Formats: sequence, structure tokens, C-alpha cells
Amino acid sequence: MMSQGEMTWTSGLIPMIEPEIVTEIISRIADLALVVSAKGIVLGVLSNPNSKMKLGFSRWEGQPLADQLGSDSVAKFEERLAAFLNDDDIAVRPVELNHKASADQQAFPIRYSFHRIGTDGALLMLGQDLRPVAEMQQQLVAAQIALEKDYEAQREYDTRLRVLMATSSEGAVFMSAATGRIVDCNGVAVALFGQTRDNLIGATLSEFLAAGGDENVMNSLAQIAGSQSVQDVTLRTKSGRDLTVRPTVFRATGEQMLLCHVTNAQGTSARADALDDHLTGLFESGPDGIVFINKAGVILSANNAFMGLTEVVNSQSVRGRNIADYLGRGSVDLNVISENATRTGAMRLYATRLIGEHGVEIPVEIATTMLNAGDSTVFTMVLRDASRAEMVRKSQPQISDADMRSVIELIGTQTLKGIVAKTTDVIEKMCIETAVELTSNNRVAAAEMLGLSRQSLYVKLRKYNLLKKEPAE
Amino acid sequence: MQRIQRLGHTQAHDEVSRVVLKALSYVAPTLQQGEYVRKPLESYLSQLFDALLKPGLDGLNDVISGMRKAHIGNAVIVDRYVPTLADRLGDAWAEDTLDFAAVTIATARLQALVKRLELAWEAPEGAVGDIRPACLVGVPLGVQHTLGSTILVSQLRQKGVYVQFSLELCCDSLREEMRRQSFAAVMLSVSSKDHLDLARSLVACSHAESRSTPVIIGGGVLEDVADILEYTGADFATSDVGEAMTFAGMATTQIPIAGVGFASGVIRR
Repeated sequence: MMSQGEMTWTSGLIPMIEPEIVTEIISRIADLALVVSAKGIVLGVLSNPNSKMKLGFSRWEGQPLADQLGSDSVAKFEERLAAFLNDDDIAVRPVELNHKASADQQAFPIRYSFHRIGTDGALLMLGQDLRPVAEMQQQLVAAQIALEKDYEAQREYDTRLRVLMATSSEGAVFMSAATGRIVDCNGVAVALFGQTRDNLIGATLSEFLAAGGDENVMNSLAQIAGSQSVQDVTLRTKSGRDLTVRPTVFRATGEQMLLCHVTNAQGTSARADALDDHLTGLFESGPDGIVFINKAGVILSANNAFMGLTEVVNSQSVRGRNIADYLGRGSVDLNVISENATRTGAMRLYATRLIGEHGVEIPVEIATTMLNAGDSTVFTMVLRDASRAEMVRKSQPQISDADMRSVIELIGTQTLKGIVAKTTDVIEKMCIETAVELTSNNRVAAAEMLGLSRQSLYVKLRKYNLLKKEPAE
Repeated sequence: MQRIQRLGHTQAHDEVSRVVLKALSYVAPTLQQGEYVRKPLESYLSQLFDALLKPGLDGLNDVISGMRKAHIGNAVIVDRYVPTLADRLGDAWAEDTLDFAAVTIATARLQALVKRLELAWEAPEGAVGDIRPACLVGVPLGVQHTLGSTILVSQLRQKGVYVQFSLELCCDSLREEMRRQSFAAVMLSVSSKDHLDLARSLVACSHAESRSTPVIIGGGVLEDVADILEYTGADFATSDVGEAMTFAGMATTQIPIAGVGFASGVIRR
């Protein structure tokens, strides 16, 4: 007997066992025991009387075992049988085989171990019934299919809701009645509040309202929503726009929610204020990072370009963090910027390094403006990738995003050696072309400039098909 | 991309680097066609494989996070890594290095990963004003292997195709779906030849409802059955999402993806 790979039971410990008792033992220790010939023919079958498997295995006798297996298990069995027979010393791993369904029994899996019995190459296969595990697997698969169906249904409802919200002429804002935080909103609401969608989601309504109004907006809205009559409430945003809000209260999966229909109180379209739209467009789509921070440096909002510069995926993870976390000299940078901007209203240019989420540093130039937003002071920082700006200033050909994307896509499709070889060729050709151009096709001069012998230059000119130009010399 | 850009920028004064970058950007497009397709990296594959077999999601999340830092996007993970991992799980069962319970659980985790990475979830805004027909991806009743079809659905959605995903599909439900809306194609995912008879019925049912809607068949069955089109009556059988889309007249701007939801081989009627 093997105990953790060690033999501790020698043959002398037990007396010889009578053949009929051996049969009894085998039938009890395995759910299904097969004596199989070297050719894979079933010579005998023993099934455990306690097993819940239906009987009828006796008809397997004289048949190839492969005939009783599912299509995924035939090759597996034959391969493992051959390995077992070909090498006396090999320890063949137990093999899981799927038996195919018959008229009176569904397909079922068995884990077999292989044992030599010393007669005519025949072997004993002791099988463990894996149907209980298979039944659990069936339940898992059924649950998974149910989940997939739910997911598809949810997707359908989600799409309908989003289409409804996207095509609505009114702003729609969903808020949690318990926390007052905005859960979802449509594009019109985004425009009316003059914020980005990311800024609105997760924030409270009062964060976007002018000071001096109703201090407990949420309670007021909830009270109005709970009253029998339909009532509107007018709120003023920080940018001074008056909005008419009509709240409706409802419950969603137990949580009380408010749906606020929002319209412009002046009756004009939210789109009418072109400057707001333009500024919002600049914030959302501009190439430079734009960050609004409070006096302490806490980020109030940041645009997509800033996310790109800092390699942050989700704007929610930026909001609430201190801008000093992203600046090369941390709070020192922040203090210099905020003090200068406070003193003069704006700081035109400040050079430092921006540290991304993954630790990558890039040089940046920051222009900062102090804004008076109601009672509080807010700084706007516009951050520009200085290395890119530097390249433009030097009037050098710029590496475009498309170029860089090509380079990134290249990595992994070619070996380094291959890339270097190809790159070397291109560099050689570029340099030779440039040299030939610079020397007005004077090949002696070109060779000299390139540090090549004339012969080598001719070889390379031929290699790169540049010989067609007539030499100036 | 940003990272490499930045590596270049830190050496902005190095003219040689600039030339090399320019050269690379020049060479790169010429080397990214045909056979030069980025292969899954073995280090990430083995990390993902190990993480799939461990309890908890932390390990898996860590690997995915690392892959994102290496600029391996969700679409690439779904298109290139997940199918390879599924194959490896199958191989591990065939070699009995993993029992089928472990394979089942790991496959379920892999399927959940595909869902999590599915990019198209946030696409509904694009649905407004879009009247293109959707594509029906169906898994016949009784087929329990749904990872391949889940990947296929994810791939189609990433390519901008609207997909009606129907599990446990039978003739009645297919008929109902086809009467409710017209489809650019009906794609049936069949994992083994045990389900060929139902697949054949579904093809006949689809053709009876609309002969102009192509029925494309794929899945593991393609590896087992050579004359799949003759047997099922399907119009096309393929391993390739791009091929399937082209056959169905659904334009794609992305490169075809090697067999995932559909098994290997392309058979055209």
C-alpha cells in the first residue's frame, strides 16, 4: 500500500486472499471494476452493490471498452492504455472517462485507475463514480445559463432606459433618497448643470447649486415628491442658471429613489447658451489636461485628457484626491502654484513633472487660474505635456499618436531581432537618402558623411534601390 | 501607448532616439499585416491559468491589472487569451492533470471574466437611430458549453454588431425570435455532434421562416464532423468571426479573429 508515495504494506503482512474474497473486496472498493484485455476488450465487469448506478454492465463483456465511451474519451482511453501496457514501470495517472448514454442510462463519468493483475496482459480498472460531481456541474451550468439569460434581459432593459433618457428633451436625474447622491443622469441634465457626466455621478445636487439657496435641497425635493400635488421647485446653479426641478419619488429594489425632471427655468433650451456648451466641449474633448481643485489642492473635477496624462481609468478615482499626489515635487509644487495664483489671480507657466498612476513621469507645463466660485476659491489648472510641446517648438517632425500606436502594436508580433533588423534597414536607408540629398547626390561626400567607404555606400545604394539617381560627381 | 510615448519623450534631446522612433513608426505598419499577428504572451497565459484555478478573484484581478499596464486591452484578452486558456483547460482534462470539476469551475470563472471585460455594455447610446438588423447567436437546447458562444457574442458586440443571444434555443423559440425581428444572420454554436440533430432542425426552422437569412454554424462540432453543411443544411460553417460577418454582409473594420466561438475550419456551401 502506498502512503503518500511510500510503500508501508509488505506482502508478508497479510495471508493469501481467496479469489472469491478478492472479487468481493474489489466490488466493494470500486463503484465499477473492469477487467480489460491488452486490446481494450472488456473481459469482466464488477459493479458495487451499493452503487446507485443502474445495472446492465454485463453486456459490455466481450465488447471493446471504447464502444462504451463518449467521443471525447475514446482517444484518451486508448492513449492511456497504450502507455500503461508499454512501460511496466510507468505510473499511469487515473483517467476520467465519459461513458456514453444508453437506452436505459444517461451519459456518466467514471475515474479509473489502472492495475496490473499479471495474467496475459490483462489489467484491472477500478472506477469511481463521478456522477455526484457531474450533477453539481450540471447545476452550475444551469445556474450559469440562467445568469446569462438574466444578463441579456438586463441588457435589454438597460438599453431601453438609456435610449429613453438620451432622446428626452428634459434633463433626467436619478438620485438616492437616502444619500442624496446622483446615481444616473442624461445628456440634457449634464448640459443644464454645465458639468461632465462623471462629475455629476456620485455627487450630491447641492454641490452644483449656488450658495444661499435651500440648504437642505434633498429634504425639500423629497417632501415635494411625497406630496399629492405635482409641484416644481426652482434651483440656481453655481453658474447662475435657474433650473426648474420636478421630483418624483419611487422605490427600486428596496431603495428609495428620486427622479428629477430638470428644465431651464427661463424656458430656453439648455443648448441655447453656446458658451457653456463650448466650454463643456473644451473640457471634455480638449487635448490638454484640465483640473479644478480647491484651496487645499483637492481635485473637484478633471477631464479626460488629465486621465490620459495620469493613466487613470476612472475619473471617480481622481476626484477627492490631492493634486499634489500627481506632482513631481508634491506639496512644494502645489504651494508655489496656489500662492502665485492667489497673489496675481493667475500663474501663466509653471514647469514640473506629472507622476502617473503607474509611476511614469512626464514633464508638464501648468497654467493656473484662480476662480471665485461663490464663497469658495477654486483653481483651474491646465496641464500640457511639455515634452510634446518641446518637440513642436524645435520644429522637428512629431511622432504622431498613430505612429506610436503602430509601434506598440508591433511589439509582440516580431522578435526584437526582427524589429531591430527592419529598423536598421529603414534607418540606413533614411540616412543614406538624407546624405545623398544633402550632398546633392555627391556619393563621395555622402560616403564620407556617413562614415562609409565608397564601395560600402554603393552596396547599400543598390540594396535600397537608390542607384537610379545619377551621381553629381 | 502613453508609456512608450513617454519613454521616447524622456529622451527628447536624443536625435538618434527620434530617428529610431520615426523609423519604427514607419516600419511598424508594414510588419503588422498578414501573418504578423500579435500572439498571446506565455507569461500572462500561465499567470491567468494559475489564477483561474485558485479560489477568490484577487489573483485574476492582479493579472488583468498587469496586462492592462502592458497595454493589453480587454478586446485582446477576450479574443486571444481566453480561447487559448479554454483550450488549455480542455487539454488539462484530456491529460488528467485537472479533473473535470476543476475544469468546470475554471471555465465558469473564465466566462465570468469575458462578461466583465465585455466592452459593448456601455454602447446603448449608439443604439439611438440605428436600424441595422441584429444578429442572432443561438445555443441549441441541451448544449452546455457556452463559453465559446459568450466569447463570440462579446466579439460581435465589440465590432459594433447588435446581438440577440439566445440560450437553450429550440425551434419554437427561434421561430418566435425570427417573427419578432429580422436578423442579418443566425449563428448557431454547437459544441459536439450529440446536438447535430437539433442543429439541423434549427437550420430548417430558420430557413422556413426566412430563406434570405443566412444560417452559420460553428463550435467544437466543426472539428468532429467534416460534412457539417450537408448534414445540417447550414449555409456556412466557420471558425472565424470576421469570415462569418463577411458572409452575412456585416461590414467589419477589424481584423478577423481566430476561431473562438466557432471552432477551426471554414466550410462554405
